Amino acid sequence: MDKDFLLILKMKQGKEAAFDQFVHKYYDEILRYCRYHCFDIEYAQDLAQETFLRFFANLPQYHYKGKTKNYLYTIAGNLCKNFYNKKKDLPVEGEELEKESVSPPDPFEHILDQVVIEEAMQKLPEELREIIILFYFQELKLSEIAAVAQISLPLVKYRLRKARKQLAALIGSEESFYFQSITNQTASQKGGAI
Amino acid sequence: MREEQWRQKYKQQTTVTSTEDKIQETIQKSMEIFYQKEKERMLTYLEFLWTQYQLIQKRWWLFQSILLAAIILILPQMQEQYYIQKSIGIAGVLFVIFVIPELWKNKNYHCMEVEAAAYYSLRQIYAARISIFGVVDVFLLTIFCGIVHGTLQITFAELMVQFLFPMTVTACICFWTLCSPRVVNEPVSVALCMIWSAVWWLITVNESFYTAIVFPVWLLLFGIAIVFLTVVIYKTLHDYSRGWEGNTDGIEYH
Repeated sequence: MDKDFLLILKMKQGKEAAFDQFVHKYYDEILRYCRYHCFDIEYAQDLAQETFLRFFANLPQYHYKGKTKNYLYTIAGNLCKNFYNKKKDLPVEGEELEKESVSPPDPFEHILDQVVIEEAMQKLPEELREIIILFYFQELKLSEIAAVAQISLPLVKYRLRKARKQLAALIGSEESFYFQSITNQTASQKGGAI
Repeated sequence: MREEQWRQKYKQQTTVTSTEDKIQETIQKSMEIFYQKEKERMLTYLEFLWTQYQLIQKRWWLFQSILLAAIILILPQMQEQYYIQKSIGIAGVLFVIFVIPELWKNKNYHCMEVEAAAYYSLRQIYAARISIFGVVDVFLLTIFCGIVHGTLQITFAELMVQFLFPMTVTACICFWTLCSPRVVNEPVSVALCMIWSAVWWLITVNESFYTAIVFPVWLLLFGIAIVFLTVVIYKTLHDYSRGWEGNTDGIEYH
């Protein structure tokens, strides 16, 4: 019998050890997934927790069909979409972005790379970003991605090719933009000092 | 920067490690929300019985009703008490045999494991089904005995000996085979019932033997049969997990 089947059975019977085992089994993976979607560890932790809460809220009606992980990904994906939508509604906080890119203790180049990639990822269409995250960062197989995203395998391959191209182009443009803005900033700071 | 490089670098930069505190908080909240939702959707016992009633095939009750109705119609045509005794005893056995397919359904279709995954335990599910069958059958038998007593002037004592006793023994055979640790399938159960039917027929045919047994002895035998039936029903409910396909990796379902 499948391990998840037994875990779900025991959880439905209220066995605390099963809850513990189940959350430990999937928490890291879901947290990583949320982290790649929202780029903020605090939010990612909240989203990961919310994913499990939604799963357990539906557990009494949940009928095991052998794809528990996909179900968790679907919940997490929906929560991340909501997160994006809410984020879009908020005014852009330029100051915070500036702080993030300049003040953290990490080496300058390290942060620059991360910000460039995150900016580029955010600019990707939602369905392409999802494929990139699942394939490159969550390291799911193409067939698993097809099951999670509920699309066909050829469509996954097509979106992956498209996403790679777009991301490469976006990273190129983001990098040049950041280098330019940083150069301008340094120049103005130097000018101020003079 | 090459694609593979930035990807690896980004992965390293964004490595996120979960904290045990956060995981424990998630587990705690998960259990709370699960119990809360369970509480909201908890069925009452009556609702549970109703859902089980809906799952039972009603055709068996229809067959039982037809059988009893047929006896009520045929018995007045028989002039001799001798034939009435034979017919009514065989009918008692047949009445119980109609219950067998429904009780064996889960075992035959190997759906014990599926039911074990349900919120209610197999013991509760079986107890509910047996109770429903009991209620409906007692209702049918009460009407039958009332009509037979009223129209054919057969006393309740005679009905007990000639109809209820062989019927109870048949029920004992059914539940005994159902809870048996050996693999006994439905046809074997039916065959054993038929053998009992033949034995009962031989007993009633043998007039000297039949009349030699006085009423208190029949009463005692009926009492023993009822006690045995109670024991085998209890055993059926207690040993319900024996019908599973394979072992469950040491996990107990209670």
